[in-house]
Amino acid sequence: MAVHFLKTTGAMKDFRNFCIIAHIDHGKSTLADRMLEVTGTLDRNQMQEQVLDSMDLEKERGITIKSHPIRMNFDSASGAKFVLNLIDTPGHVDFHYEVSRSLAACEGAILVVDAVQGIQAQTINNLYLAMEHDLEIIPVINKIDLPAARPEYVTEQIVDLLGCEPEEILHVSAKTGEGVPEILEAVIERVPAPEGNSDAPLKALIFDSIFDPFVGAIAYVRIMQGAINKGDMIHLMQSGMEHEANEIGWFRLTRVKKKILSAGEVGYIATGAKDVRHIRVGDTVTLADNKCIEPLKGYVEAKPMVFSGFYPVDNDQYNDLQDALTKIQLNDASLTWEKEKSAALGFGFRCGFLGLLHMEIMQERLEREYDLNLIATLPNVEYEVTKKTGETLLVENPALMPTPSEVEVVREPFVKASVITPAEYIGPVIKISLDRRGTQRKMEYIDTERVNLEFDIPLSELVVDYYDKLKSVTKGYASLDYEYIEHRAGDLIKLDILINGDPVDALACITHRSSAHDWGLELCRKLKELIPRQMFQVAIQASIGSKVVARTSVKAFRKNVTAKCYGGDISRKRKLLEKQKAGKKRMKQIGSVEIPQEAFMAVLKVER
Amino acid sequence: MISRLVDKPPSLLKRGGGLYLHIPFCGSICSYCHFNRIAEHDNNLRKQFTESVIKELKLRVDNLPLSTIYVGGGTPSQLEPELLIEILASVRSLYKVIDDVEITCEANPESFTAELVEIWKSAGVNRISLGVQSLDQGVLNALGRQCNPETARAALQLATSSFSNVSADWILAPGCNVDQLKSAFNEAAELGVKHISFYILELHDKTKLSDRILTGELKMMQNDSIAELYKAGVEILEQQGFQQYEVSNFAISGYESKHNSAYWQRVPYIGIGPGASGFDGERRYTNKAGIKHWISCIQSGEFPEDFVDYPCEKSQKLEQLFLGLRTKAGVSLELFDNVESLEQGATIGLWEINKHNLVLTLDGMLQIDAIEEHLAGQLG
Ligand SMILES: Nc1nc2c(ncn2[C@@H]2O[C@H](COP(=O)(O)OP(=O)(O)OP(=O)(O)O)[C@@H](O)[C@H]2O)c(=O)[nH]1
Ligand code: SF4
Ligand SMILES: [Mg+2]
Repeated sequence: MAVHFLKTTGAMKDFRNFCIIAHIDHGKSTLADRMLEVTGTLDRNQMQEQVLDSMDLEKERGITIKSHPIRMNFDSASGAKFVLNLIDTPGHVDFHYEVSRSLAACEGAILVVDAVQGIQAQTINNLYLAMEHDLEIIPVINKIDLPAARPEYVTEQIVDLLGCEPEEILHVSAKTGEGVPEILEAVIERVPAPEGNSDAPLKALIFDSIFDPFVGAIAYVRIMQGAINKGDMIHLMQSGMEHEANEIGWFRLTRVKKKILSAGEVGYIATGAKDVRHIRVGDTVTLADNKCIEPLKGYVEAKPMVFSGFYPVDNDQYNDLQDALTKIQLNDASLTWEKEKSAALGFGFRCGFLGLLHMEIMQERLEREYDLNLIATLPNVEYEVTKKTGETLLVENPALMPTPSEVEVVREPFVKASVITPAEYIGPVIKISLDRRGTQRKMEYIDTERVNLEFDIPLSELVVDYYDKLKSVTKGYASLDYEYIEHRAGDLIKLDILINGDPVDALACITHRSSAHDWGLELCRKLKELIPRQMFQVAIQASIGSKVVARTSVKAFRKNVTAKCYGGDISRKRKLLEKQKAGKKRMKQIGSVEIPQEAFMAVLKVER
Repeated sequence: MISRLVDKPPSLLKRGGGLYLHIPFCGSICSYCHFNRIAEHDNNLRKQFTESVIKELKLRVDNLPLSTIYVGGGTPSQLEPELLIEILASVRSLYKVIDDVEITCEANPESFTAELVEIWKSAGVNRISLGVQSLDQGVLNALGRQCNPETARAALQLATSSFSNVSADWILAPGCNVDQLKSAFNEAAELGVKHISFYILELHDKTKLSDRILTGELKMMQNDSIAELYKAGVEILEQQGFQQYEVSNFAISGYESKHNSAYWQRVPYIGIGPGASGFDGERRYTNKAGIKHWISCIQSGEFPEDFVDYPCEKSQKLEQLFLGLRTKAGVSLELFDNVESLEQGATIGLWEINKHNLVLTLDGMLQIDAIEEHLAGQLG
């Protein structure tokens, strides 16, 4: 239960701010759809499935990537009128930080649990996050319309997890709408109204920010105390910057302009700032001429965990890629990038992402929205290298790893991975985790059927194929969540890949010594499959330092014999060659070898 | 497409160059033929054609000198020699023609007569390219050629006795063997042929020959035996003093085709006639292929072009690449991004790298298509 220091005043008692949290795909966005319908927030022709997932990629993939706030008016059965601010959150672990930001703007959270799948890894982690924020939790079992639904069983799990009464758990189908009004009533009854003195100096938390090319940077805020009027000069307490609040308002499907936002409300402030980084998420907004004293706690910044080199296939697109990264970063401060040069791939950027899905989405957006053609190198983690000289550096690009003789110690990031799995798969789950240098920390039965296993495991292992492997050994029944713990020393070495005798920096990777040999073999085999036959034989080798640990080759391919003659129609012939060239768009020329884009990701597909 | 009604294409012959004239008439259609030609034609159409050629010559008139004229086909010997005279007279009256101009006419043996020779000579034709293709009845049959070995021999004799510069076409086709090539090339050399175009038969869709091969009626040679025969042919030719100067062209020194060399060096040329192409150093065009379309365009005063483009810098490099690869002069190393990456091909004998150029070896020439494609990816 939240502890309330400040008194609830005026209209604030009719406000409820809450978010919907759950494991991925348990039905948060669909539940939000029903709420928008029940409250009449959207009319029929605005309605579509997961309407809050407004990005194309969200729609296509059917997942939520960004949190989405929206304001609803609700007439309760008792006749009283309420204003509800709902924030739909993403379930995927890569977007964990989106959830924690949203929680800070709310007093309550609806914890959705799928009636078939029951509690999963992100259910638990998101729940803990919400509890850290002292939110009132409303447990909901969703998808009760499904024939395989097991509401009694899931009820037991939730009771065990939360220590609540079975009666406190609501049953709902976000598909049919059954039980949805009851959830809204429960929100009104159980979630406390916001508190905060409207007359005190403005204190607002920036819980998200976006960039709109027409309006500039926009802060999504929760007003904790005081009020803001359109045109006020705002002061950002952390950055010290001041901006005019050109426009303020709250959220429907689009932004709705208002003249004032006061304590307890969720809304936005458009500043005209040219860069979202000027209005940092987690910063506290106050008024320039009437400052509050204490800033709010804010957030730990989301740090990139996974890195990859992004290179244009066609070097001419380098500047376009830089422009595109700059633009995307305006809306996604968790993306980092810096210039780098590869001997094999030319000029490009080392980009940092929150996880593999984040990386995949960025690549897709760059290629689609900005019409670029990219090669992404194998994702890797950030290593901490202490040299014999005592100097410590962060290595985000395997090619830049100092030689073994220079290195005193290499540390790599470890994460705590929690796996929830049916008990029958405990054996295989432990095996694949230990095979990937994990150590088991905990084993806890959630109920008679399912177990929560915890491992400390190198993030690099997780990034490669752990999740796929986990899904396959548990027939898709396990779920995974992880969080960074610390960098730990390990016997890590650089594995070079040589094509026709020359090391290709973009194919280098860092691995543990114990698995380097197997890696080398598998990588060579995989590359052999991926590199098409060409004019010449292509020799592929894997080496550690100067020692070759594996080798193979792709045989040369000779085309039909032709020696034709033609007259003056040279355009036609040229067009043909240009077409063939365009057909190889996703190939990168390295020396005399053409390497397809997938080859740079080959390691991801290595079987272990 | 560029408006062609008002704008005349830019001046062609900036540096002097060639003129190609396409005569699309044939006596009958050979089994392998995919060229732009027709077998159905009468004196009326040929007259109309001649008239249109003269009009196109006027449309494309340019005041820079012509150093080569090439009359190709189809079969130019199917056109009444009087009509050809008319055309060549127009060329001379409309264009500046240099004194020692090379004027080549293609002819097929069966329509190459003493009478034609007289008239052509009087019109200034000084080089003959005879479509012999083979001196073996079986091969000629498979190719669907109209002439037999005797007619071919007679035509060769007539040509070499009347012209000092005679070229003959030879095809490497099913039924060829080394002995055959040896005796044929010997005979040609003895008769005084100065230039041989020796090609490998290409199969094109929708030709009789490819149908026959698809149905299994005729067997195409295997790549390996084609390569062997081609190499043997090249060796025989060189023994007879014919030096290879391009993938399929061989000449006694000094008798290389000036006209064709101009194509490979990207020298400007005017193309006249249906389906003909031209190039002024910047602009490339290809005429409408259908004779009726071509005629009606010209009659209404339009440029009869089907296709026009201005190759950009990258495209020009690409042209330099694939044209240069065909020749013994080779391709300038300056075209390439990274000369080191060319070493591998040299090591395995596909090409040689001299001080300035990359030059295909015979083995390389046999794989020119694949090499073009490969090297296209290495251009700077
Ligand atoms: N049968 C049934 N299907 C449902 C119900 N609720 C959601 N679904 C389906 O479950 C899938 C996932 O729903 P979403 O609403 O996108 O889930 P989410 O929790 O928002 O997913 P993320 O945002 O990606 O974490 C969709 O195919 C929905 O149609 C339900 O009550 N019954
Ligand atoms: S003579 Fe030449 S153009 Fe005419 S049909 Fe035969 S191959 Fe074709
Ligand atoms: Mg969602």
